[in-house]
Order: sequence, then structure tokens, then C-alpha cells
Amino acid sequence: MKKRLGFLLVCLLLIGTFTGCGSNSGDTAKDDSSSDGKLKIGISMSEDTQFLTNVRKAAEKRADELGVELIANSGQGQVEKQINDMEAFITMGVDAIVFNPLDRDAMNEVVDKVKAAGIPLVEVNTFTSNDNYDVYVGSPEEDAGRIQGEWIAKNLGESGGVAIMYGQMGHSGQIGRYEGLKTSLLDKYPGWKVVVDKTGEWKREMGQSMMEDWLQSYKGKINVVASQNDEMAMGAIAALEEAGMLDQIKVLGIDASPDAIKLVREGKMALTVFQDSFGQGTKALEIAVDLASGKPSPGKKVDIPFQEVNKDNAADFEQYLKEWE
Amino acid sequence: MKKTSVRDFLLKYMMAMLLVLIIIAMSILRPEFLSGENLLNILRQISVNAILAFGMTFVIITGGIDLSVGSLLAVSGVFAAGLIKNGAGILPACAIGILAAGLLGFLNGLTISKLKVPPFVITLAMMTIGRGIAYVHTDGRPIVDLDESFLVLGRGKFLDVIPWPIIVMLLVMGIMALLLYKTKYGRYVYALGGNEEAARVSGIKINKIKTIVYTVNGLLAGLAGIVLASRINSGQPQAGVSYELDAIAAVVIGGTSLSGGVGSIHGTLLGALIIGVINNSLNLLGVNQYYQMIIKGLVIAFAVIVDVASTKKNK
Repeated sequence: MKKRLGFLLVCLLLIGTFTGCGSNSGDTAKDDSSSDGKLKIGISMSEDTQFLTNVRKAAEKRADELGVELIANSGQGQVEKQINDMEAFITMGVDAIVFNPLDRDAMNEVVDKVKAAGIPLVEVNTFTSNDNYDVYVGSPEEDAGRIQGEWIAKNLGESGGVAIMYGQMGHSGQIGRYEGLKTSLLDKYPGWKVVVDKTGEWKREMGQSMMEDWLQSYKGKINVVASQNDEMAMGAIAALEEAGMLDQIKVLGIDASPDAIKLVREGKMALTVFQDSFGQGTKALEIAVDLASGKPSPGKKVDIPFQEVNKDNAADFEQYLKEWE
Repeated sequence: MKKTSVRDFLLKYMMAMLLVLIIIAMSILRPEFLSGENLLNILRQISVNAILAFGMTFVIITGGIDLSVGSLLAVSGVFAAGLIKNGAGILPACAIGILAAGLLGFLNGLTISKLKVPPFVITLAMMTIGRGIAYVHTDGRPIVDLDESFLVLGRGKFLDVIPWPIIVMLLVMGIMALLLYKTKYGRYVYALGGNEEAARVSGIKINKIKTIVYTVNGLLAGLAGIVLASRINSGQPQAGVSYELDAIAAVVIGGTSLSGGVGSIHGTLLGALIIGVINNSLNLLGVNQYYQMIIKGLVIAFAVIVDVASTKKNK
């Protein structure tokens, strides 16, 4: 008897879970359609990194302020899942989509599908090679690499050895940031050589283990580590601190995440480049709402500029980030 | 007496009833759920997982497990994509991709049967090896912009209505069901999982059967890799990460017992369908993605509880 009861309980619980979340969302949906035709926007993120989560949070905050419903999803690093998420948005008939594609090329078909369904599409942070989207809101990736390259030339002289930590290979950020570094440093100053370069897939733990290995194999040859994001840079710093070599090798990051800015203020990270995740998310959402309500497009590309974060201005950026907490 | 039979009935059809329940609930909550396009979307979305899960069903019926299929899928995808990019014909490229995955599956089977290594461990090793091969082959970058005619498999439609991945899935299902239910090989697979020692004594070539099971599983992972590469128009070295777990989940939800000897192909399709319908439903309902994970996990837990409850009864 007891067993049977427990079993029934499990069933009820499960059914409850489904009907529970079903009816909740159902109610809100009904409210939308019946009351004031509240706009419904979908936002599909590629992954859940801290940076991209900030983009989403900013969009959510702005959606709240504007009184639109925002449905958020993440591909969690899988192309196929993100395509499925996008297809679900089409089926739901959302009024506009904010899209942060995981891959330049693999998402091209779904971009066409969204447009065929007549849904305004705003890409944010990364963009697809299929330029059928309406607007791209992002920061020109080359600038981030250029800011790093210029800092190196200005502060470390015209020759030396640089180690490069790439993000995910083929990612538009990886390609663009390298381009910027190349044109501003490697092409301009032939005295600067790439000692070693490798992908750390944006991950802190990979940056750390790569740096540990490099300290063994390239002792004394590396003057500066140009990391394509803060996560890997922070991994490198941890490895350098452990080896007691942080004063000999400068580490540069990109993204200006809160913990990276703190390291810059403390002088442990030489530089990071502020990419305004909040600005991107806010702007992308605003444009999506505008397009959904029939307002004209602001143009194909909207830039949220990169900014250099160094020891002198780190505190200002910390203040800005605090306002977003 | 009557009560126990009701309980048996409930247990047996619990997951099917769950599916029907979700479908009914969704058609009320979100009428667009029942649109032809959405239903075809769901079927296409589950096709890769279902193809993997059909092979996995055999593996699990023999009492084994294969954690390497997600990686084998990537190996096949990047091999085929690389060959196509270098101007090889589509068919040979796909064949080589599938065979490469099949070969790795064969190695799984060989080590498990001859060297008596636990499947969990050796396929875990193969998972890492396969992923490594995929990264080496691509140098970490996805191979993109494949020949248009290759994309037909993942994006085209049979008779302009049914996406090809669905057709492939149904074909695989038909073949695997025939193999399992209608051939001597299928009977041996059950016998092996039911009681390996008894099967050995009765003269079944256990090593051979096991090797075939893992080889076929590799080949199917390869096929799934081709379908996926075609669908996403690229050979991605990180494709299929954790797909083995989704495949195992589909098999278990479909009533195949992890302790071996019991299981069915149609059950596995049901399992894949439940996962796909739940994913799609939660998406359409706009449920927070993190809750989606919890709900998916609960369904798997529920399926295993049902499984345990019904086997206890049988004993």
C-alpha cells in the first residue's frame, strides 16, 4: 500500500510539473493576446558565458522597462540546439528575434527561415555570414585586437615575443581580434614575433594549463600574452603567479569582466578591453522592439565601440559595472 | 489480482501515456504545437538522437553501454566534410566518414569482447580519442561551406514535404527492428543480455555478437554525423558533445533496462519522441532554459523509477 502510494505521488508530482509550468505560461500568454497586444520578443544566445549572460540580462532589463515579453534561450554551445530554439521562436510567431549566433556559417539556413516568416532579426555580438538579418549590433572585433597591439608597441617597445591565446577557432571574434593585433603590431613592427599561438576556447582553465606549458617550453622568450578574452587571460595570470613570473610577462585580456577589471586595477593584468555587453544587449533589444512596431531600421550595422581599460581608468569602469548590478 | 494488473498496465504504458498527456496539454495551451510544420520540426530535431539511440538500444540490451557515440559522430562529420571540401564525391566522402566511425566502434567491440574490458571504461576512452581525432583533423576549426548537393540530406525534403533526416531515421528504425525481432542475431542479442553465461553454454558466439553490436553502433553514429553535418552545413569538431547521454536517455525512457536483456526499438523511438516533444514544448511555452534541464532530468529519473518498479514486480 505504502509503495503504491509513493508511486502515485511520483506520478502526480511529475504531471504537476508539466501542467504547472504549462498553465502558468499559458495564463501570461493569454493575458498578452487579450489585453494590449504586448510585444513578444525572443532572444537566442549561443552560450552561457559571463559576457553573454550580461548581454541577455541587459536585454531582459530593457524589455522589462519597455513592457515587452522576452523569451530567452541558449544553444548551450551546440549549433543544433540553437537552430531548434530558433525554429521554436518561428513556430511561436514572436514579433522579433534577438540572435547571438554560435557559428558564422552553420546558422545561415535558419536566418533565411526567420526572414521568410517575416520576423525582424537583430543579431548581437556575433553575426552570420548570411547577411539577410536586419541589423547587427556589436563591437567591431578588429578594434579590440588593435587596442591590444597599440598598447604593446607603445609600452613594450618595437620588438619582442608575443604569445597569443585564441578563442574558439572560426568564431568571428577570434578572426577579427587576430586581424586587429596583426595589422597594429605584427605587420607594423617586424621586430615583434609570435612565439606561440593556440586556442584556449575562451576557457579560463585552458588558459591556465596552456600558460603552464608555455613557461616550460618557451622560457624567457615570451614578453607578453595577448589573450582574446579575459577568462583565458586570468588563467594565464594564475599560472604566472604560481610560477612567480607575473612581473616578467605582461598579460592582456579583452571583455573587461568585473574580475578582470579588478586585476587591472591591482596591476596584475596589464590591460583589458571593455566590450560593452550591457550596451549591446540594451541596444539590440531596443532595435528589435522598434522593428517589431514598424519603426525604420537604424541601418545594417550598429557599433558599440570598444574601450581601453588600464590601471588609470579601471575604477571608472568598476563604477559603471556596479550601476548594472 | 485486478489491482496488480492495473498497476502492470500503468507501468507498461506509463511513458506512452506521458507523451499523450503532454501532447493533449500542449494542443490546448499552444495550438501552434499541432501545426504540421512544428510536428515535422520535432521529428527532424529528434532524428539524430533517434539514430544514435537505435544503435544504443542493442548495446544496452546486451548489458553494455557506449559513451563514445557523440565523438564518433563528430569524427564522421568532419571526415566527410573535409573530403567534400577537398573535392571528393559526396557518396565516397560520406561512406568514408561512416566507415571511420564504424572502425572505431569495431575497436570498442573488440576490446570489450576479447579483452573483457568494461564497456563503460573503454568507450569512455574512445570518447576522448574520437573527439581528439575530430579536433586533429580540423585543427579545431569547423569545416564550412560544403557543396550544395551535400546539404540535401540534412535540409532537403522527400516529396517536398518530409525532411530527409526523418526518412533516414525511419529507415534505420525499420532495419534495426527487423534485425532485433526477426533474425537469429536479434535473438542472440537478447539472450546475451539476459544471461551471458547461459548464452555461452548454449553455443552462442558471444564475442562475435558483441563486436557486431558495437560496430553497428559506430556505423550508426557515423550516419548520424553525416546527417548532422549536412543539416548544419559544416563539419564541427565539437558536434555531438554529450549526445551519448541523450541517446542513453531515449533508450532508458523507452523501457530498455540498463541491466540488459529487455528492450525494444519502438520503445526507443518513444523515448526519443518524449525528449523531443518535451524540448519543443518547453521552448514553445517559453519556460526558462535552466528549468528545462531540471524537467528533462526529472523525466529520465521517472523513467528509471518505472523501470525498477516493473522489474521488481517481475521477480
